[in-house]
Amino acid sequence: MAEFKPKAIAFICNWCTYTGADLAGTSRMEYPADFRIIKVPCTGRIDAEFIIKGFEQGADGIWISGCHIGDCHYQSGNYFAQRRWSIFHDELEFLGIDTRRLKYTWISASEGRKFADEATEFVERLKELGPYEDFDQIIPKIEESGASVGGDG
Amino acid sequence: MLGVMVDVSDAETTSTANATFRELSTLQSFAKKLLESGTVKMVIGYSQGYTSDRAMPAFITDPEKASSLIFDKRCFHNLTMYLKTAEIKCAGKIAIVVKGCDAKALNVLLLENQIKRENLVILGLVCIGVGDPTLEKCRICNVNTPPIYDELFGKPVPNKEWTSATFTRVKELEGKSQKELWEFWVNEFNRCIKCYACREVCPICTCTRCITDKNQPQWVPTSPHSMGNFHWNLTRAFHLAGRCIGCDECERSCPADIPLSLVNWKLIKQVFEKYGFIAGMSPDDLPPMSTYVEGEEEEFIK
Amino acid sequence: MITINTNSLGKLLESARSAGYRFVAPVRDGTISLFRPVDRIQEIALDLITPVKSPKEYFFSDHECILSYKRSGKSLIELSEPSKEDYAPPTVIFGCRPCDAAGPGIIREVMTWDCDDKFFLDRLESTVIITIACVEADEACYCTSVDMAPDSETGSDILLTPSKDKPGVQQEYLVKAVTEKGSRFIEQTKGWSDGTVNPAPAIEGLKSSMKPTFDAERVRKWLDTSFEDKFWDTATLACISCGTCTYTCPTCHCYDIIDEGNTDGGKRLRNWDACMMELFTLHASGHNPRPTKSNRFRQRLTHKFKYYPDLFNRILCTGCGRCQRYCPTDHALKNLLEQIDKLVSTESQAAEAVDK
Repeated sequence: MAEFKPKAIAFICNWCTYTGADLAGTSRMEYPADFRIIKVPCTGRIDAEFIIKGFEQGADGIWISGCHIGDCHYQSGNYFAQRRWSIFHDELEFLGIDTRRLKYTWISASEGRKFADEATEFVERLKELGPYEDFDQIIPKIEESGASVGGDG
Repeated sequence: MLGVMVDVSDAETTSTANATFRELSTLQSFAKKLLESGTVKMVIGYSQGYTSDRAMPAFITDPEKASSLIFDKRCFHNLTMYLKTAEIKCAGKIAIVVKGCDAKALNVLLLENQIKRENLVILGLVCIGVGDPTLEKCRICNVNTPPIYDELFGKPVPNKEWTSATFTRVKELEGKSQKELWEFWVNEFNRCIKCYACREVCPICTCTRCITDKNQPQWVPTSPHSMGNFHWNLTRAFHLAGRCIGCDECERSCPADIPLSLVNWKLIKQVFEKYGFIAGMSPDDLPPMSTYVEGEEEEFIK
Repeated sequence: MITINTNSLGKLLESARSAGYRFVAPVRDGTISLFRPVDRIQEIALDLITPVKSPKEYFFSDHECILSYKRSGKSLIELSEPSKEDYAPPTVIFGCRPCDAAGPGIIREVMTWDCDDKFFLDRLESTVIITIACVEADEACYCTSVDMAPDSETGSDILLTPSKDKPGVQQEYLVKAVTEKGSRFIEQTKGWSDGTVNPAPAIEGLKSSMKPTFDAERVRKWLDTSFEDKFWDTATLACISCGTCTYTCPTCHCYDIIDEGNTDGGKRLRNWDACMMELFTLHASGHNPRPTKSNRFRQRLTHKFKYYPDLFNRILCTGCGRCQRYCPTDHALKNLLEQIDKLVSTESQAAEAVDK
């Protein structure tokens, strides 16, 4: 059987983590290519919708990363983000989302090494967890007719 | 569906249900005076519903009709939700009857600049609980005496303080495994028919255009399939973080009886435990999601 | 006439299932009640006046795929339609009340009006509706005001009329095949009947006690001239503009068509929609012809009691009372209809007084 290749999404901030990723690349550090990076202006821009939508689109894990506390390009964006994730993370856990599939980090522009290490760790973790079957069960399938004939509650 | 299940075949039970509330006639005459003097254009309160077992919102403009106001254990509606409707927004100065929990909603609305204080006369009622049997929100109520009012009806009672024991219902569920929780919620949300009664009845859901109603892009799937239902209920909850006042109107209105209050009370619990914040206690406290404390660091972020 | 008693309902279920039918009946699920396929007769809740949800969803699903596409190869798109076997399996809906049974027949008028809605019609054709006449009603019920009765046959294939007025305990039902389909079903699944005696039905008490509370024809006449009446603004203040009344209604049938998918494949879905929601009539330009809740409530009431009767000669309401029972603010059709009726009678009395 072919090795499971996880689909991960990384929402990362333009100023710190993205630059850190860039540094990891230009320094020729190795890290797995199993995630898609979506660049956002600031972690404060990351809406909880992104997380749910990510899972709906078939992601096995979602990684959120930005500037260290105190380093925000917009001064306070990551402070707001921190509070938001803190509450949302608990709520997601309460609603039965597998929170091992969520990763939060602060990575600065100079931390290319940290970026590569965290990326490796996350992909390894997802490989161990396997496909996100729970969520996949509620995603409507094209193959199925989908015609609910009543009675599905 | 509490509204349907409340059995008040005995008329006497109804009138004495809220034992501390003996000032109905004072409320009625006060409302009458407000309307007669032209201080307000309308009084929003409770009146006898169409069926004998229910109360319903009343919009009184005629001073003579002020005597139709009632207050008893059937009056669970949070009337402050009407303040967001276009009809009431253009009605001029109005008076509104609020219980403690409803008054919390007023504080949130004032804080978020959704209503103008000068356009409002707040008729606060001392309430020791509604519903039969008494609702869960009333059991853990910390605002028997409303936190904001212009005129108080009923003898003030000391308000209880919240402790960790307040959140027993949420805690029962927290003990379950991730798999159990997932199955529990998917099963509950599956019953959702996307009638959006939870959104419409919520006094805090004040967006003029809900994210569900936006389709470029379509964030929340509009179909009532498992995924659409899960997404909608999650979205609704997230937007209430640090704002939900726990009136449980969403759960009461839900025709599918989804335990939405559990979703909300989890948020209320987290916000209370982490930031010591209770939404709606004052019109000046900054909500925890719109503020921060320098030096705050979360351990779960590496 | 043949009969069946409560103890033999299990036999009816068994024979229907062995004849290949899915057996759908009212059940309790936690605190709510709805129609759901059942395996055992014990699951069925026969003591309900009506379940929260009407059986409408078995004819007109709350969400259903009407077309799907899938990319095959680089430039080919495969289209497929759901198969009839999937969306319209042979079904028995057992334990409907007359108000719920009448629903699909009334919607049929519009579903065959300018074009034939095959999803709806196929399901209607493959479904046998077995109705149990009512011996109980609550304050929300008003079937007698909309040309219906606790024992109406409209829409039913088979009507069971209780012969003792104690619901829940062992009871005998008179079995009447109303339609050809009903007789065929009885033929096909025979063996469950308990005899052919002719006991007296027990519904006369309810029938005589349920007096109409408004005159639908008089309301319709008032609606002809009262589109701009100020009544609408004041009477609809308590409405919260949610979809509870429309989604639990056995006759509301508006829908929305949306596409869900991406470049690899997707579906075209038909979902329930509700005239009570602001988005329902919102134009792409931003203009909304029904911007206020009074406009929207007027639409719902007028559609049911004027537009539909004007077009199809039938009131689009069966008096089941769900809009009253489940309204979060106790603001429902029946009450507005009664208010209108009262308004008309006071107006006409006043006019008479002036004439004299």
